[in-house]
Amino acid sequence: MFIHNIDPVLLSIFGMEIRYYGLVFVIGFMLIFIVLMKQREKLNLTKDDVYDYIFYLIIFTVVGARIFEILFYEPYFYFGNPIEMLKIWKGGLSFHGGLSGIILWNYIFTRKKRLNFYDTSDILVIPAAFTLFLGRIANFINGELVGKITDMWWAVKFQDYEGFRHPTQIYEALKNLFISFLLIFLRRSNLKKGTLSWLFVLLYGILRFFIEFLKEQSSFIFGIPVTQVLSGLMIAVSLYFLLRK
Amino acid sequence: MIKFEFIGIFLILISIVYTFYRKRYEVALPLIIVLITSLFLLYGSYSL
Repeated sequence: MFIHNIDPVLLSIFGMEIRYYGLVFVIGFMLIFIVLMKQREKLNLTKDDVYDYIFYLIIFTVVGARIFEILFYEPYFYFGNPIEMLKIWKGGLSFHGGLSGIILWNYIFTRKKRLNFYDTSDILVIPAAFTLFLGRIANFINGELVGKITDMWWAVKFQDYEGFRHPTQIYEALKNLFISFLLIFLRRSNLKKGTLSWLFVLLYGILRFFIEFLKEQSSFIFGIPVTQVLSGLMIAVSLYFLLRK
Repeated sequence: MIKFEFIGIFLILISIVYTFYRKRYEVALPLIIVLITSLFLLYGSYSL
């Protein structure tokens, strides 16, 4: 068993804090930037296109993640205190919203550049999955999104939460690492366009759905945890596209 | 006192407008701004 006492602040500059979470976010997008830069000639993209793509990818990810957090997780709080919607530094980003933002921006960009949607998504899904792995490690460092109480030997005592709990952030990190390696393994296979992208969505949805059973839940739709509803939607949509192909 | 966080969001909004009007040699500037601001502004997934 492990007692969590990790400081989420990496360093402080003139009173402004840099947290591991912010660092991981930036490293992740830099990774996506590097991968896209290496592949840009294959996609017929200029350097300027890549800069633009990543810039708006970050904007759409954060805005999408925030909108879902507001609409699906804490609507009463945010609509009662609208100024809080802007305060992303207080936390509150939803993975499913971030993914929706990414899909929307990728759709807009590829339409504008007359590319196939999957030309970019199949390339970027691997660094994105790896970024999600790092993101869950940052969640663990933050001591947020904790699991239910358990007596397993690997249980963790988080600050501000009573009892030893499932380190579901680590389970999710391992899930994302597994998906990353699987996609790396499959990328050289002769798969149809879009298979890697939808396979990521399917695997993420299935594994996340089950991990949610071990997590503390606070938001529900018709008695079902919001995250499981959204993950179920991921499974349904990805299956539709995978089987249709 | 205006907080740094609001300045960060303001800078990103300017960057979005700027991407439509910038000159070619300054193309990376909005990306650099959004990355640096994200570094300071993003704290975590869970709120409240």
